[in-house]
Amino acid sequence: MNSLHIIAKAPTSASIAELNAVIDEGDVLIFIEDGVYFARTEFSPSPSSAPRFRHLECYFLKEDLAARGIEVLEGMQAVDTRGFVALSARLPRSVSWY
Amino acid sequence: MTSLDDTPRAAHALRYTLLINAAPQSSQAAKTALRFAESLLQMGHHIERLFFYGDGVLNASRLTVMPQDEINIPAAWHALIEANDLASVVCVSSAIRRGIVDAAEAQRHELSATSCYTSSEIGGLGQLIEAMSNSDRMLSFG
Repeated sequence: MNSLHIIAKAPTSASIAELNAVIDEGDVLIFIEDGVYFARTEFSPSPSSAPRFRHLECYFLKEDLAARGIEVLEGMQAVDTRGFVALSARLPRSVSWY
Repeated sequence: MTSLDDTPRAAHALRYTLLINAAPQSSQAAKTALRFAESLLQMGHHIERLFFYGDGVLNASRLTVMPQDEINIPAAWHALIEANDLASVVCVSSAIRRGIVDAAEAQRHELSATSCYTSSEIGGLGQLIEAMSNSDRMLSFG
């Protein structure tokens, strides 16, 4: 049974390690609040570290990207709150990371 | 009894329990949860119960005053709960230590005022467990 991981905190080496330990193939990630800073590590043209989650289905909450001045880059999928709800409906379980 | 699968909305109408752990003043999470709740109702889903826990109980304070250019999140929760006749529970042990009391708790603890919006009831964790068991989805905001 796959999960929607709701990531609300900016990336740290500890949080990346924890995510890596529990995320399964087929899980979906949505980055919200300060979690949208994952765009910098995962999707920037010159990522500060190797992308870890790009092979998974990843979404970023549009309004939180805009509030932090982060552009939607090539390969990134941005959704509004309704899109967030739709993802929560699609996946049978959710895990909140905050 | 009609199975949910027999109804036209079965494919998308789900029952949600939302657990809110964050105070409206200390992080963005309470506002995220509020926006999420508004959107899921607009999309035709149902809220089985809102459950405010830990610092999240401050979302039920009717004594919160915000600057005019900022959203009053407790007031917005109250309006959403009233408008949609939602079930909303504030954890009692989290609430009383933070000064969130209704008339019954104020009387029990000999306090001179109440602070909890009447749209939410003060209750226990059992109501969270019950709501989760009746829900298709449980999301936590902290």
